[in-house]
Parts: sequence; structure tokens; C-alpha cells
Amino acid sequence: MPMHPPEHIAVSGLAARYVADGSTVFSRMNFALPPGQCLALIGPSGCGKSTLLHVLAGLLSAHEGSVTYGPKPVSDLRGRVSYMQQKDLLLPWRTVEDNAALGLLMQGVPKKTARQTVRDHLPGFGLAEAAGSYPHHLSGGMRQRAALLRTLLCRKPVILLDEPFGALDAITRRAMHDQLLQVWRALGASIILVTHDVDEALILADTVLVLTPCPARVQTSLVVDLPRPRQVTAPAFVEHKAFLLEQLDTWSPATCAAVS
Amino acid sequence: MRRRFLNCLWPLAVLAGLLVFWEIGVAVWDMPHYILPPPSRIAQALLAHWPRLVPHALTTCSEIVLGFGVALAAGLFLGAGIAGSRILERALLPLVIGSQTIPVFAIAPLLVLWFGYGIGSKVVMAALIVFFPITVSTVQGLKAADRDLLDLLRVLEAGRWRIFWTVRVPQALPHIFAGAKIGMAVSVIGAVIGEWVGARQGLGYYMVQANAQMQVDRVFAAIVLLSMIGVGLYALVVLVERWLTPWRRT
Repeated sequence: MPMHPPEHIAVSGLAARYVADGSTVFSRMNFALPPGQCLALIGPSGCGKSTLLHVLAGLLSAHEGSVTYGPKPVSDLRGRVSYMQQKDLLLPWRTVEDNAALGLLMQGVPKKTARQTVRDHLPGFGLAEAAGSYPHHLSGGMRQRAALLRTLLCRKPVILLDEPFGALDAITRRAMHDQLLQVWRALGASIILVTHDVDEALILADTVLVLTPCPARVQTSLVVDLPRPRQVTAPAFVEHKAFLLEQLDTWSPATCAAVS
Repeated sequence: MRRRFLNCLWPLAVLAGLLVFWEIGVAVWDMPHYILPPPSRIAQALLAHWPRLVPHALTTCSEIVLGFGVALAAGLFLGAGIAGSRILERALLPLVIGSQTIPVFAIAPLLVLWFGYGIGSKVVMAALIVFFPITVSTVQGLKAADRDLLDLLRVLEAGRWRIFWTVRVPQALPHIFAGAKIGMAVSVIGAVIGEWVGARQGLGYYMVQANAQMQVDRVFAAIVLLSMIGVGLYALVVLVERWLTPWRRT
């Protein structure tokens, strides 16, 4: 089943509040994502990055602001996104294989075809042995990889990833970056990636947004115009990294408490 | 394997111990057999009356199974309705719960009056008792669905029906089986009480007859059979549960 190519996404003045107390989670959120590019959001924990993805996925509604997809103003990207949340959200009653095939099955792909597609990808994600296992028999890292595979195989033009490698050790993480880059190249989808890891943002993204804490806003936007695969030791990479770390250092937990 | 063997062994050992105590106790305290027969005498009665007991047992067994089946179908259906619709929940759930304040045994004579001395009144009786745990556990199970899993399916644009079968039903199955296991256990009670009140066939009827003639060993023989039926049917439910929820096997 062919995927619709992604369109230009523009977010302007987007704001959301907590339902509980009405306080602002994020506000004046502005960014643009050209088709097929990867945008990374980094910022302190609890600054509303996950909430932003929830809004874009259509699971929460924004308080103000607008989102456009191509020429059309939309309330959210529902139907155009696949969304990987921080929790792996694997269905406990499905094997790894059937979990990874979920997105395909929901799109009406026949079971046999969906399973075959999954099987082709399992080795690359280190899950070949685990195909028939139930999620609770797997390590956190394996579950996360299964969830990532499910998300990528949904064949949606936009992919939202919320700390997709959080549960992985450094070595597996690097291997998964390569896998993601490979699958992404084949898919041509647009990606919005939330991460805490500056290296990860610079390895994967075309643009990195640094968010301020409580309420979150865009503090800095950095265009990463380096060829892939990127070398973490290359001078330009190191320079970018130093810049991002400096940006993040302007906020400490103390200032966060003072603002709120 | 060894563990499972031991798991079976312990209760059997305790049971054997109790039977030995019973056998010796009856002899030592010189208990009359028409009050409390020893296990050996009950075993003899069971063997001697076996040909007569079997048809009664089959009747009771079919009452239990039919009553359970009717209640299962009705409970699943109603439970799904209550879980799926706020209006049905408001309108029906209080009634379902309220209905439990009426002791089913109290209306047993009425059931016999309405559904006759045959199998019908006992099936209804068993079904009325089993219906409650199954309905309540179905409602609970279908409502227990993890919010985040539902969100996941919503983002994938799954329809309501799809979500129902992909998330709600599998998540509800363990709850439903918990209800079904309780239901199967009480189903036996329903059938037997129904037979006590008025019947021409069945282990309950057999027990009342034997009791009236002070043939207590025959009463006990019927009880042994009844408990065997109960344990067997319960095991059947557990087997089906294991088959339908393979992810919960360890």
C-alpha cells in the first residue's frame, strides 16, 4: 500500500493548558517542518514536549494557535501520523510479530502480508528470535524496539517519536539510530522526535529546537546541515553540540521553579 | 512439572488424611451408620448404586451446563451493552445489582410452578445465579481497558468495533473468566436446590429421596458425584481460559 507523501507542516502560536489546574504547559510554539525532514525537540523533563506530541496526534486539543498541513489548516494531524509514546504500549495478548504488524492490520493489509513485512524487518531491530514471544517476556529495550518497529511500519507520512530510545543502552541505541535512518530513507516520512540526548538529536535531525521549561517555548532553533551518516567526532558536529549544551545550560531546576 | 505434581499432591494428602480420620472416628465413637457412615461405606454405596446414579448425574450435569451456558450468553451480551452505553448502564446496572437482593432460593418454588418439574426450572434457577457474576465481571473487564492502549488504536484510526475486539475484549477476558469460574461453582448449587424443591430426576432429587429413607450413605454418594461434576466442569472452564488467554501462561 503506497504511502501519501508528507506535506509541509507549520505550527504557529500553539498553546496548551493542563486540564487539571488550567496552568500553561506550552505556549507560543512556532516551528515548521518541510516534507521528509526530521525535527528534534530537546529540553528539560516535564517541559511539555510529550504534551505537544499528544496535541499533534489529536489526543489532546490545543488551547490556541494553529497547525497547517500542506495548504490546509487542521486541528491536529490525526490520520496522518503514527505515534510512538514513551511507554511501549504493546498489546500484552499479541506476540511481538503481531504487535509490530498492528499498524498495517489497522490499515486493512491482509494478515499474511503484514506478518511478512514485519518478519523482513525483525532482524534489523534485533527481534528475530523474539517474533513469537509475548511482550512481558521481553526486556524493556526489546519492547521499545518492537514499539518503534510498529510505529515505523504504520506507513503514515508523519512519525512522532517520544524518546524512542530511552530504554536502550548506548550501544544498541547507536545501532537503532542506523536502523531508523535506513527505514526513514525508504519511507520518506517526516519525523518529529522528542529526546533528552543532544547527540541523538544531532545524529538524526535536520533541525533541532531547544525548548525552555515551564511553560515551554522555542528558545533556539538550530539547522543541522551535515551529511549523513554523521560522525559524532567531526568538528562541525562537536561545535553544534557545544552550542546546544550551552543553550540547555541557561536553564537550571532553580530557574524553572522560579518561573512557575 | 515437579512443582505441579506437588501442587496436586498436597491437597490430595490432606483429603486422604481427613478420610482416614473420619473412618477411624466413626468406628471409635461408634457413630450409627444412618447418622454418619464411614467413607468406606459411602464408596460401597457409590459402586453398588452406580447404574442408578448415572442417569441422575447426567440430568443434573445437563442442568448445570445449560444453565451456565444460558447465563454466559446473556451475561456477556448484557455486560457488553452496559459497558458500551451509558444509558444502558444507568438504566440496567442498578437493576442487575438490585436483583441480587432477592434470594433466588426464595423463588425456587415459583420457578417450579412456572417451568415445571422437568429440567427447565433447574436451568432457569442455575442461570439466574450464574448470570450475576458473569455480567458484573464482563462490565468490569470491558471497562478496564488501558486508556493509553485505546489512544494508540485511536491514533491508528481504528473504529469503535475494531477497538472493541483488539483491546477491550482481550483485556476483559481474564475478568470474564474470573466471573465464569465463580459462576460454574454456583451453578451446581442452583441446579441442586431446584431439584430439592421439585423434580423427578437428578442428584438433588435422589438425595432428598435417600435422606427421607435415612440412607445417608446414598446421600453421601450423590454428594461425591456432585462434587466430581463440579470439579470437572470447573477444570473445563480453566482449560478454556488457558486456551483463550495464551499470553497469561507462564
